[in-house]
Amino acid sequence: MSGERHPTQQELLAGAIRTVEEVLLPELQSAWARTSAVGLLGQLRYALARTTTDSLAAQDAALEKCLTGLFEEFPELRDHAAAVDTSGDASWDLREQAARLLVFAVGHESAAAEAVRAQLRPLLAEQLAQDLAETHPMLQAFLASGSLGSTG
Amino acid sequence: MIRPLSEMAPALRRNFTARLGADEEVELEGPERIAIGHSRAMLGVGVELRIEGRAKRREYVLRVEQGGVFGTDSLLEVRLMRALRTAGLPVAAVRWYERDASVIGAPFFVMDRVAGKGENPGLGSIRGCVRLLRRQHELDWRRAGLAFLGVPSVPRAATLAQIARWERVYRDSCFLPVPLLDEAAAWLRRHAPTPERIALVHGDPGPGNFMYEGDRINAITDWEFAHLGDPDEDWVYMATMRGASRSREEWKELFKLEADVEVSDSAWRFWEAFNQFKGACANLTALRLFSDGVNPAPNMVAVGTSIHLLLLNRLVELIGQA
Repeated sequence: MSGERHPTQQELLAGAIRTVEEVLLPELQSAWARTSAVGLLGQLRYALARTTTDSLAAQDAALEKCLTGLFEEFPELRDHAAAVDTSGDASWDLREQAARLLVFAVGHESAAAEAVRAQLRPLLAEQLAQDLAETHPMLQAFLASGSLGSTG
Repeated sequence: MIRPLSEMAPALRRNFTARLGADEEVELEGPERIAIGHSRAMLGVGVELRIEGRAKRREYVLRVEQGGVFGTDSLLEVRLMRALRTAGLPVAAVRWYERDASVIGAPFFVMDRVAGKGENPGLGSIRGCVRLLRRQHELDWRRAGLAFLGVPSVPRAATLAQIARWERVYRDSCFLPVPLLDEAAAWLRRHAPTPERIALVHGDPGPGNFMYEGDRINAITDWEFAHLGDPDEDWVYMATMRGASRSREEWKELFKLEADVEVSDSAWRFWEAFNQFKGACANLTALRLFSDGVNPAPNMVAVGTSIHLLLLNRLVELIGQA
């Protein structure tokens, strides 16, 4: 290694944002090019915000803790969460188990189903809110570009 | 990924010359991107040509695939549009479907450009759109030859089929399971109403998906989500997914006045949840295409993340309140 200091991911992204905003965007004439540039700014800001966080690992840990607690309290829930194929991907398996428990709980009135609704569902809803907040720069750019229609 | 617009003209000139049967190579104005669509790129072209010695000018729109965004099918859309035009609904005339992706980088179909605009419709054209939606729902779909869309064995099966359709789209596209979507699918199956009748459902009706001049609707557009099913899906969609310009009560009043339609509160709750589910599932295809490098456009990642999450968040609220 040369021993020189290389630019960080944050510096690279911050520089790219300024270049798009201050140099490219003012020069673009076509409406679609401008829309794409505004969208790109949102994408870059999202990437910049994510250089300091690893939300997936934290979410996996919280999900695993919640599922473990539910299985300890209601061992019968393991039968509903058993995966047919284990993918080998821990993040996938956790969410597949969570999906099966939520599906089981729909329309069931047992204590186990109520526990799933009271503990697992709010956790997932909270993680959803966190993810939504994290993607806010892209949503703002999307709205600013006038792209919001129905589905997308 | 489609080619840059600046590189398309030579191949498009050859394509249009052959397809239109022109005496010599046509002259082309454009293409230019004319709408900010996400499932399809919409390009406008002006064509000057000679046929049997007579000079003509035509305006066309190319509706270009983007790798299968939203899990929809252009061939089906073309077939449907042709059938609807024959049946007398205001739909652009489709000229040809070009399956050869080498022309501009993706398959596309060509339709006549319809006069008018799509954005910011006034009350007059919205009333017209509501009346047209009623007319679309009243269409004898068997007589119009629309059984190819899939005829349900019993009316409720149509709704269950749509839940299954979007669940499949989600599962085929996702990088990780989305447990709240699986929960939603189970909830929707449990609460699916039985339609009074089966009708042609647009799937994405409302402001932004029709072309108008003043109060006159020149064409209903974007038929890619169309299917046979419960017409209440469309009424609630128009109000809750494309109807931000008006309140829910204003939409209900419009539906009653212009179409003599009243959607029950329970049906409204169901279809509002279903439409958020449909959107949240469909949008995952955009993230898959972005991450796989098929379509690197910024709107793909925005639709596949922030818009998907926004719809999912609203869906979770609705089911939690039910």
